[in-house]
Amino acid sequence: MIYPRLNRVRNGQRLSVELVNGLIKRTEYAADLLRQYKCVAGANISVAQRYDGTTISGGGRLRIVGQATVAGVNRGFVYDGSTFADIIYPGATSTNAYDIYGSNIVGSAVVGGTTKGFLYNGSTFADIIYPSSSSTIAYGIDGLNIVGRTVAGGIIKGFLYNGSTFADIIYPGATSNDAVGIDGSNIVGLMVLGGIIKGFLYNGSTYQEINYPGSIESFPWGIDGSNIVGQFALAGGFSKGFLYNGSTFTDIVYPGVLATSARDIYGSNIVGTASISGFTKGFLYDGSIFTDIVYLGATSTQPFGIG
Amino acid sequence: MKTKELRPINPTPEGVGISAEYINSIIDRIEDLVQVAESQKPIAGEGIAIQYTARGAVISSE
Repeated sequence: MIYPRLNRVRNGQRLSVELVNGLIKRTEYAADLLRQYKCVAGANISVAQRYDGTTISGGGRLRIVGQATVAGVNRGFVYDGSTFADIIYPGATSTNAYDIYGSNIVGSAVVGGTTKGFLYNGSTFADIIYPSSSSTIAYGIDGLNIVGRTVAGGIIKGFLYNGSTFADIIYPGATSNDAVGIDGSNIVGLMVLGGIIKGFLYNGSTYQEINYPGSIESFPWGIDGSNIVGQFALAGGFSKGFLYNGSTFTDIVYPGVLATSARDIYGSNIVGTASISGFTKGFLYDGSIFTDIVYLGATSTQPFGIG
Repeated sequence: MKTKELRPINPTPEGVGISAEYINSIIDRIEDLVQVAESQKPIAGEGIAIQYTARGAVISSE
């Protein structure tokens, strides 16, 4: 509701109820404007709100990152809808690209038999290694924050890395944790709880289980706003993908294949994998149509992230 | 913001006295806040669509 500009008071003017209510209404008007003008991500747009401003990305072509297996060797890729560009960590025997935010890509590389995480800005690789760990994988990125999993002190645990410090992400009571996706302060992950693979959502203070109803295992892989995508399996069945909007699960099944996994979501676009007879291909799903993503010559193309 | 952060007021034995000058600094501060809020309105550029909703301005690529 619009409330008119306030008039300044004169010396000697008494503080009246009308004046105080004017202050309150004008303040509420400003609050209304700020709520109305809060930027929310729509299709093909990424919005990151921070104390120093709002970063709006996208508006152009979607970018998809993942891993392709060619002649038995894994390489990372970034795909813009028409062209694949390789992402290969120098000296690595295997490279995976897991997520993208703007021009920054996170992933993992096996170098000298050791798995380490990396942040790739399009030209240089920076290592992401959890202190005193034997293995680090960077799975997700949002702004400056990176999530992943590490093996340190014999414990498999998730982490949140803000560019300078690591914070552990461990679901209470779980024996193994992976933090795999991040959007704002929300992190999705996998855990082993009571011997069962389950999903979780962590909002920075509390944990919540994310499990497809009736499933024997659930893997949430990606998050964008209130939407979470992943995969699940029912007893005796193959994996299917799911989209969870915070209240309802919707199956995502690539037609005619044995197994489907939804790996990440950005706006209304979902990337994932479809597998049949030893061949795995990627897909982009816009809610109605599946479009194949296949790296030339690869036996396996796995899109893991979209941004 | 053109104005400065407001100072908290202090009670006196006689109660709370607020001068016209101080009330005007509150008014100026609120008007400053309104100007900043008005300036935050997202405007659609080329290839961008904006839909104003109850949960905010939803920005999409056309």
